[in-house]
Formats: sequence, C-alpha cells, structure tokens
Amino acid sequence: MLSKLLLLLVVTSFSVGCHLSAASPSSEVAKNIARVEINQSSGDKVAIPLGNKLTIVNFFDEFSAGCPTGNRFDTMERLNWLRPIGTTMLLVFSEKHFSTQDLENFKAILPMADSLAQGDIEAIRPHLINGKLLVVLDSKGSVIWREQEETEQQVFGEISKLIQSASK
Amino acid sequence: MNTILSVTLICRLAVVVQGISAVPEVQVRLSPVYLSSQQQEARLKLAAPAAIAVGRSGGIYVFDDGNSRIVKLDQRGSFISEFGKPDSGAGAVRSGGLNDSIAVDEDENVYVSDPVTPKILIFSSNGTFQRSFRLPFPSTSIAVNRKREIFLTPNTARPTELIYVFSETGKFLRRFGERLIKQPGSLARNMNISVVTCDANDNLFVAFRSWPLIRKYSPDGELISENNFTIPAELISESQRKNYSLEFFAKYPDSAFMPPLITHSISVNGRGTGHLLLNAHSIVTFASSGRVTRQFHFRAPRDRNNVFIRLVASPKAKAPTYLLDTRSGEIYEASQL
Repeated sequence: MLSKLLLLLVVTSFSVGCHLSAASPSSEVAKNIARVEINQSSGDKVAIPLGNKLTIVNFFDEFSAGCPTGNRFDTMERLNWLRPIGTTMLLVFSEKHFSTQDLENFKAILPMADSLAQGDIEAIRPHLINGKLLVVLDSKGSVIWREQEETEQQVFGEISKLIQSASK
Repeated sequence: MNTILSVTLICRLAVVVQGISAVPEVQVRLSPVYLSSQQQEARLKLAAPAAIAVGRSGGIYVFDDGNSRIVKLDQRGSFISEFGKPDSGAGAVRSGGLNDSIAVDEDENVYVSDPVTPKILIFSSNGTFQRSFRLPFPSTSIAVNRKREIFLTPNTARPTELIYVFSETGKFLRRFGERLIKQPGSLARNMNISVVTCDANDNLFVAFRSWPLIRKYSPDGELISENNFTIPAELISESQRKNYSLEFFAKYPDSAFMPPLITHSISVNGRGTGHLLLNAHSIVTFASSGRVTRQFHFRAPRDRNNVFIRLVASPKAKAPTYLLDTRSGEIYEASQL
C-alpha cells in the first residue's frame, strides 16, 4: 500500500501543469498581425520589424519550460541556428502577462536575447493555440505560413524548408 | 589484464552500491497541531496540502493545494486567515502539484511559487497581495534569505545552473550550482530536481530529490561542502540497485528509471541543525556544516496512513518542527529530532 502511495508521490510530486487552449479557426490573422505593437526600450510602440527576406514571429501569451510554449521556444532556438542574413526572428511576449522586468529577466536567462520582445498582442489573441502562435511573414508583411495544429517537429520541418527556399 | 578487469568491476560495484544500508527506526514524539478531519467548518478542511512554512512569530502558512489557497494558522493550529483564493485576481494561487512552494522571510512576507503559470507571488503576513513576477521555468522549491533574495530550483530539461536567485522585486540576480546530471533528458531533469533552504546566516542548503546528497553553498553561491547520506536498504529493490548510479543517469538521461528515493523537503532550524524528510517516514539530520549526523525511520501516529511530505522548522532557536501530511491534511509537531 505504502509503496503504491510513494509511487503516486513520485509521479505527482513536482508535476508541471500547462495552459491549454483550443485552436482558432479564424482566417483574419494577417490583418490582425498588422495591429500588433512591439514595445521599445524608449517607450515607443512600433509595428513588427520586417526582414529583407522572411520574418519569423512567435507570439507568447503564456510561457513555461516543459509546456507547449516552452517546447516552441526550443523549436525557435533550433530554427535560429538555420537563420540566414535577411531573415528576422522575433519572440513577442504579451505585455498583458509579462512585465518589462520579466522580459529583462528572460533576456538574461534564456538564449536568443536579441530576439525577445514585449508587446501588445491582443489583436491576435483569438488565433492563439495553447498560448502561442507562430507565423512567417514575407518582406511585405504578408503571412506565408501560419501555425495550425502541427507537432513541433512538423513546425521545424516546414519552416526549415521556407528558410532554405528564401536563402536561394 | 584480469587484475585490471577486477579492479574496474570492484570500482563500478562501489559506485552502484555506495551508501546503501539498513536504517534504524526511532521513536519520535508527534503531537497533533492541526487535524483536518476533525474540523467542522468546510473552510477549515485542508485538501492535499502541498507545502508549509513557519514564520518568526510562530505563524504556520500552508499551501492548501486542493483548495488553491494559503491558510495561516497560529502555532497552536488555530485558523487565522486564508488568502490567495481563486477569486483573488492577480493574487490568486493555483494548484500545481506537490511542489515545495512556499517560504516566508524575516518579516513574515509570504512567497509562493506557482508552477503552472509559472510565477512567484508575494503576500504580506496578513495575506495582502503585494506583487508577482514571471519565471521562464517552473520551480520545485523556494527559499528566502535575510536580504529577501529569493532562491529557486528550476524544473527544466534545459542544461542550466541548479539555483536561480531573484530580488524581492523580481529582478533576476544570479544563478549558480552544478546540476547532478548535465545532459538534457527527462530522467536527467528528474534527477536534477532539488529542494532548498536557507539557514540563519544566509547559507544555502540543497538536497536532490532522488540522490543522497546535501550541498552547502555560501550566501554568494560558493560550494562549501557536499555530504552523502545513506540510502535506506529497505527502500531500494535489487533491480533498482543495478542502475542507481550517476554514471547510468548520465549515460541514459532519457530512460524511465524510477528512483527509490524521494527527498520531500529540507529545513534548518534556529540552532543551525538541518533535517531532510525522505519517503514520507525517514529523516536525515545534518549539522550546520552539512555533515550528516543521524538517520532514522520513524513511526507515524497512524502508521503508514500518514503520508508526510514536508518537514519544516521554525527559524527561532527553541521553536518546534512540524510535519505535514498531504493525504489527511494533518500537521504534527515533532520533538526530539
């Protein structure tokens, strides 16, 4: 009996919960991305800065290692290794849930500090999937790829192909 | 050649079976302080309490995980207040597993680690929500020193340091400490999970959840000592002994090995004596140097029906030590530890 109980403790101790949400069927994501504002250190708010080739943007409304959002961060880190000159990568954390100091901490703790930003992402909130959304924009800001319900491996594979195509 | 092989085998065997032996059972007097089942009012009943902290005034703070709230009791176990309930807006604590997720500072401000969001919430001793800040990882244990620096143990597969330190305002200050297993992987992640506490001189003591080791760090993060304790022979099966080695964990960091040992909590009392609670009914005592001085099993009032997951000492020199039973919501005062 005790051994079963202890086994239960092993399984449940230090368990990590994750925020989960349903996928949004909306197709208005491109229009809404244009309304996203990035906070600059000067206090100004600017639109998403576009790269000469691709702009890979992930929006985070939640974030935790070991959850879908943390796994996405790992995918972005892998993609960052493939990123050629002219392709921009941005990880935008919702200002609603992450303070300026939170972002400063994340920059000090996590890799890809230069790509981390805080912003107003309320416009794309309906499109978030499990607290996150990944989109790829072309140099004109048009959405050429958008996260649906792919696995992280699929996300990595598909965006790797886009990066390779854009590099040619 | 044969000699070399023999020596290699003996060395390997030594690594595997080092520190496993029978541990005696000792009588510990446990006096009930709070028995959830005997409470009449619904709000006084605890549901799967996960963590406990004791303030300098003697106030007892319980993370009542099943009810997603903090309960404050006086030192006799009388209910004083509750806070952090789900309707508390930004000051709501979330249930999130059996983490060692509450600490108090010298002024009895209460620090709660929410592993789901994940974030740290800070309350005054009367339960008024002060502020919170986000973390990039869940934390399995929290401690606060006299400077109100917050020490956290990250639960992450990412290769990183063992301890993260934040200011009371939530600014990341520093990180330090080597992980037990440096490779990324699910088993490595579990083996690196640790619990942490501060002594009255702001030294930091760390114990790993599933490996018999206590580390002592100076206030600025310098490793002062490492001390092993005995793995109770009763807790480890023959099949577990075979693979219970750091060498195995490093080689197979994603394997599904189930460690025999659970270090639930670590605490240092006002006299500088430390205690670990292992596998619900075992205690390791260590000196202020970190050296292990005693190890024993104890019989609980309701025997194996009591499942203790926390042991916490008051920061005052002659104040009691408490044991928290998550299963029944009972708190006992332990003497003669």
